[in-house]
Amino acid sequence: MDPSVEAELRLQLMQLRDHAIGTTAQVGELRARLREKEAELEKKNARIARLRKDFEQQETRMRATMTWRIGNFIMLPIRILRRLLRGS
Amino acid sequence: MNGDGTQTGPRFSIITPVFNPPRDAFEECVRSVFTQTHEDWQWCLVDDHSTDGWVQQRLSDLQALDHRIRVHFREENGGIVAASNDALSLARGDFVAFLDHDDALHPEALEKVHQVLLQRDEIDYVYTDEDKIGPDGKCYDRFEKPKWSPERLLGQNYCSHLSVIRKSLVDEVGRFRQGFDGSQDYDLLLRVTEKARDIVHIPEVLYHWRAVSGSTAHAQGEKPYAYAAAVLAVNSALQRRGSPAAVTMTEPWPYQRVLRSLAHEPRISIIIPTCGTYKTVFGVETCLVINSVESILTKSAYENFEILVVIDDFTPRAVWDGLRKIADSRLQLITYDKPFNFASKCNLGAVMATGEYLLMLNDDTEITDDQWLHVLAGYLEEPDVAMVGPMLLLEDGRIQSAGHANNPSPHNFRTGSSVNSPGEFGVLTVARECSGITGACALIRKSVYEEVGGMSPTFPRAFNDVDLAFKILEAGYRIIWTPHTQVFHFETASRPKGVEQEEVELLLERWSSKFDADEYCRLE
Repeated sequence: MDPSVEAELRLQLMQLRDHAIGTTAQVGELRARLREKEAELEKKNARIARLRKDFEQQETRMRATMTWRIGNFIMLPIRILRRLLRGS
Repeated sequence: MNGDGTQTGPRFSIITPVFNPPRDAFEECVRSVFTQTHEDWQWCLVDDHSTDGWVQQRLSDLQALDHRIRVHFREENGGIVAASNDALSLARGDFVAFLDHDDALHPEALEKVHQVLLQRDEIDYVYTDEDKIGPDGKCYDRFEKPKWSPERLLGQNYCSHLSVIRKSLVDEVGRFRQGFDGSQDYDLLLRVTEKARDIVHIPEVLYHWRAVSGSTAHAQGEKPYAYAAAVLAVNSALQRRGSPAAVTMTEPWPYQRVLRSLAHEPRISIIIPTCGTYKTVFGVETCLVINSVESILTKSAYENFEILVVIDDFTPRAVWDGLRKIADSRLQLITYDKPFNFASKCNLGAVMATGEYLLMLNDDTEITDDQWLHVLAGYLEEPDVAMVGPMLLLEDGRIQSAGHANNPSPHNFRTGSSVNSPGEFGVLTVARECSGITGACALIRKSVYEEVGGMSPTFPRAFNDVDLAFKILEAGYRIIWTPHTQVFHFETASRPKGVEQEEVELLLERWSSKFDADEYCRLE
């Protein structure tokens, strides 16, 4: 084979290998970043779940207070009136 | 462990030879063992016939205090090797941890090692970072060690403390040997690491080494016999491995220089990309490539090499003529007629090369050491070493590159430092594994260069050597930097200046996880 043709073929082969290795490395980096983001998302979701639970517990405690019950009773006629007005 | 996986003895046996320790320091050592969060240990103390009155009584009290403590009193002083081996005879643990009588363990030392050992059954040796305790009790000199670096271990006992080794392996290699006093632990580690199936480094300070007068922790000049023993230990190791080499002590810093002998001279193809730049060097207007080639031809004692100058077609005629004038049959000129691309030029040289090894060399370099190729080629005698580079010097004699480091991002390590500086913990004095070598002077196995696709033409100006190094490391090879030969690198504008943003982005796309995560050089 003509030495210059052989050299050109070997150059192309090296370039293909580099491309394959480089692409594999890029995919690896993307996968690692994806895992990081997924872990971040999981943490955030866990935090949201905790906040939601806290809120629900606070709301339950609040509704159990005498202040809430009295206020709720006092506001009852107004709530009925509002429903009637919305209905009409 | 029994064959059915159940444990017969403790997990760890702590090995401590004792001879007239400083009392306060010894009590601190005792406290550090008792406060271990991991409690499955046994402590094997051997008194080497101490002459201080309190020692033997104190050891007896300790043995009576806790069933995990075993003490043996030698009837005559036998030296550290004999005392250490006696302690090993008392040991029943799966793993032995070495603790000097005046040093201290971090409270979580054994627990952290235990957690690592749970990861894989094949782990035979674990070592950690260490620091020193001064006379005022304060810790200093934190040694952030690299991951497992066999070449570095030949240059210095960087593993040292804390070392935890599988007991059966210690027994298999014959425990401590007489004749290596002062470096008996180094000799043991060299033998153990030859046979260990898996070696893990914990990058945390788990051992505090007491700096007292007379100890090598205190000053380099203490215990000169230890340094002679270290040279002996390394010589012994290389003989065992069938690796002929000359081992000498470096001056003035007491590390080891290992220069391997070559059974034959493998053919080296020196590839020099150029466009014929001129620069004032040592006060003289110089054609850089002619200067470089001339220095190679006149200074190199190595005979089996060829030089391939990959020369741009627009290079002035005078440069072509100048090269032909000094050329002998070893010089070949290869025309490059495409737009500038340093990586492509190197690759062109590589495919035209007939050598087993390729040496990538910038045209702005000058050789002064006639042994440079012998020194570099010696490291490639190790089959898993793919690339090696020398200490590069600026024109004014300061360091231009001591290999690459990646914290916080890839860069030439210790540019501008004095060549006489040992560096932190000998980092500029010992040959060591690293994350990369500048392409200005890098010797590479041709088979590996082709295996990893050579230099990537997608990095035409910069980072092609960084990318090449990462590809080589990913393929499982080692890269070595050595201070034991030096090459001038005048660092000129022999190529277009500047870094293209797209090269930076591509490097990040391929290798961003390597940034700020250099396991071989945790310094910045």
